[in-house]
Amino acid sequence: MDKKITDFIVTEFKIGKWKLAPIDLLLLIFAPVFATMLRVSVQSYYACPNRKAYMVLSDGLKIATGCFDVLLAIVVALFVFELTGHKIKAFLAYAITLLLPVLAAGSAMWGMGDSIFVFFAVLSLLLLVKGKGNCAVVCYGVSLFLSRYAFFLLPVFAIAFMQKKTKLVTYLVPLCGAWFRNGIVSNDGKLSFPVFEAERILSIMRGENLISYNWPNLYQIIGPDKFVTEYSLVAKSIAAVVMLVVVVLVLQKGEELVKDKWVSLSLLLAMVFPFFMPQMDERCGLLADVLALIFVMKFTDMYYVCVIHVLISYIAYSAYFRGESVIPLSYVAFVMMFLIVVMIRFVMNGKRFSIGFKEKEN
Amino acid sequence: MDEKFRKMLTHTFHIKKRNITFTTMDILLFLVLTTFALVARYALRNVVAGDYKMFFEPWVATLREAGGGIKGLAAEFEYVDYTTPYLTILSFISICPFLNTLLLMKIVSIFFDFVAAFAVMAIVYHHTGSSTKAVLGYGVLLLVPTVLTNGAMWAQCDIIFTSFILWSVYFLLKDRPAMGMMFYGIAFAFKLQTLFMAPLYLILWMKGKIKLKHFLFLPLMYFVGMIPALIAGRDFWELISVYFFQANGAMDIYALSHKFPNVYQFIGTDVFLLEYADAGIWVTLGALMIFLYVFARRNYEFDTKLFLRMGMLLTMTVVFFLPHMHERYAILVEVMAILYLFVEPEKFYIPLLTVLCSFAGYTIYLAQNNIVPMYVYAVVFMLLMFDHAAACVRMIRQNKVSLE
Repeated sequence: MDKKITDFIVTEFKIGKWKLAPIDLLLLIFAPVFATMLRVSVQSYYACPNRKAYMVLSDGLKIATGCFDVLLAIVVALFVFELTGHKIKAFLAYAITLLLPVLAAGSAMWGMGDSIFVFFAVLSLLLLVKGKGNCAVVCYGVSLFLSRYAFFLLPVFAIAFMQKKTKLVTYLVPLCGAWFRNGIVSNDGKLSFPVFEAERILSIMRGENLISYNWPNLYQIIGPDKFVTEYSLVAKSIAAVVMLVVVVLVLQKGEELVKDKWVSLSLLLAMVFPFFMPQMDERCGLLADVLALIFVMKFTDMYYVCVIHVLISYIAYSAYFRGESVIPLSYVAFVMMFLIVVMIRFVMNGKRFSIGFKEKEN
Repeated sequence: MDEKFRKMLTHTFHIKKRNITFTTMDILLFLVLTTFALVARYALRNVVAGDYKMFFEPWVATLREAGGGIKGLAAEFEYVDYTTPYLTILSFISICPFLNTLLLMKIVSIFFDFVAAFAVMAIVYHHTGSSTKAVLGYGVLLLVPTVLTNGAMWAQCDIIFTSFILWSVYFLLKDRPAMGMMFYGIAFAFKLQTLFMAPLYLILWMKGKIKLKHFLFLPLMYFVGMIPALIAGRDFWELISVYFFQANGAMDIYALSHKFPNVYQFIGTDVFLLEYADAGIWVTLGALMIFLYVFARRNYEFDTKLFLRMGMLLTMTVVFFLPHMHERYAILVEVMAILYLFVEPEKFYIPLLTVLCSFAGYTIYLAQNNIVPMYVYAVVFMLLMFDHAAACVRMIRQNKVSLE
């Protein structure tokens, strides 16, 4: 009897195109249930309870971003399946994405619309990997319109263009996205768009001018409140140089980027830029969190990259929620630096730093 | 004379019925370790911890007022989160004419320290076939700082349910699932924390090591444990609901972690007490669901190493994410880590670091001493989890069984 039940749980049945076992279905059902309950637990928190404008926006944004969390989980699962061809890994990626604490806290607790831009950014990468370069650029444009953090992926699309994956004309969309966001919506506030409003209110609430808002980067090591204006300009210049250098180095290598190479490069960029860019805040690591999850599903022996990055992100979130971090952010910045070094080694030479077990190298 | 003495020391004894072989040296080692373990406990006998003053002493007084023994179980408490079996022990302690309550409570815990140590001895002997290693296992458990201080210094009783779980592990490793689950049921009757191991038992069921019917031992043993209180006239539903009260964590809501090095040490234990209390439970369930999926979906053979690694990983996952964890709640991980020392001695860092992490919390509670920040221990604890997770994946791949 027991054997019959346990065998039934793991026996695969053909459902349409897919071969699924009841245990897969259980995961697919229970992951959103747990994810919903997780979000319900924290939704009573409001980051700026005294701001009427925020309170009006917050609930709607929480629900909308919650829906995008689910869409993001589906895109992540499809991405993992595309990279690995492994069904179980895809299901796992779906469940883990839904339960990512940073995603849940960002949407249901904080009421920020970050998962929307991450969804479009990841979708754009998926389309790029699938060879639909032009659609990818359009999606990227939407992502760039929604958040300045999508900017981290700009070198990826520059490389895609140079490697004939995309057409130049499609870049008008990201250009418009960036211009529309920075020129009209974000700076002047002429168009009231919930995602931007929430961010604008947050920016007003912060008050002080720092070079890093709780993101464990270089500026946490040298002091986030010193030479803010001067360092900001220097950092932006350095970031632009880094961007150019990355593009040139990849193109000079002459190697055509395929599937996982796009992911690892994107992840590296999403980790490196927040480390140098000025005015990075707690939420700037979310894109890297999701990309890290996709990355470790392909390179399982580097699982710690995702776990540590998510933890770092959540430590940054907590620094905002609490007003100060339990662990000094300068210490966390060193851990971040370690992850960046690991990823640079991987992207440059394909060298993996494994902990515990080693995958067969491709 | 010298030769005779040497011969006497290395003389081998054999118990045919049980197929156990040991030498005089093993007996000496056993006696020395036992003596040291008792001396160490004797040294700690007079320490009075805050829990004793705040909880145990008033409880025992209440039980005494109600008449003690079985009669005492009818007592009405303002607050108590122990089940009938331990309250029965306390109730008998309350009317014991010898020694004082504190010492009697410590003696009970020390007795179970030895029960647990014998279980470790049996498991190590079962795995290695070496009586010397088995005796060493016995000694390590008795002298490990957390086990030593838990009962003999703090007068806590975590070792009681732990000892039953150890015997459960022993019988499961011997392929005697009914006995294994019976002991697991007894452990459950004593403490809710027994459920930290439940994910492992679910995996064992999926792998055919336990039958579904064996899980009935849990309610059965809980019911058997309730009998003394029912005889004393207590309400059935009230007795059943003790664990629901504990699960609500009503007494522990003032901090997300009670000096335990888990994820809340990274993000702060004093904020979002209500939000994170619920969210933490869902994250824990989610994490366990993912592990269960990974471990149950694949087809592989179980061995002692994988059993212990998986047990440690799943239990650590629970205590790492669940809110309101106390310093003492990783005791199951500690005893499994001690067992692992004798299964794979080169991984000696596992018990070393596991005990270190837990004992840091003990030190803060018992000595109000916090020299190294708790988040450092939380990092170490997390690295250990990485190690177990990686080992589980590695072993599952090695032990893979083809579906054909």
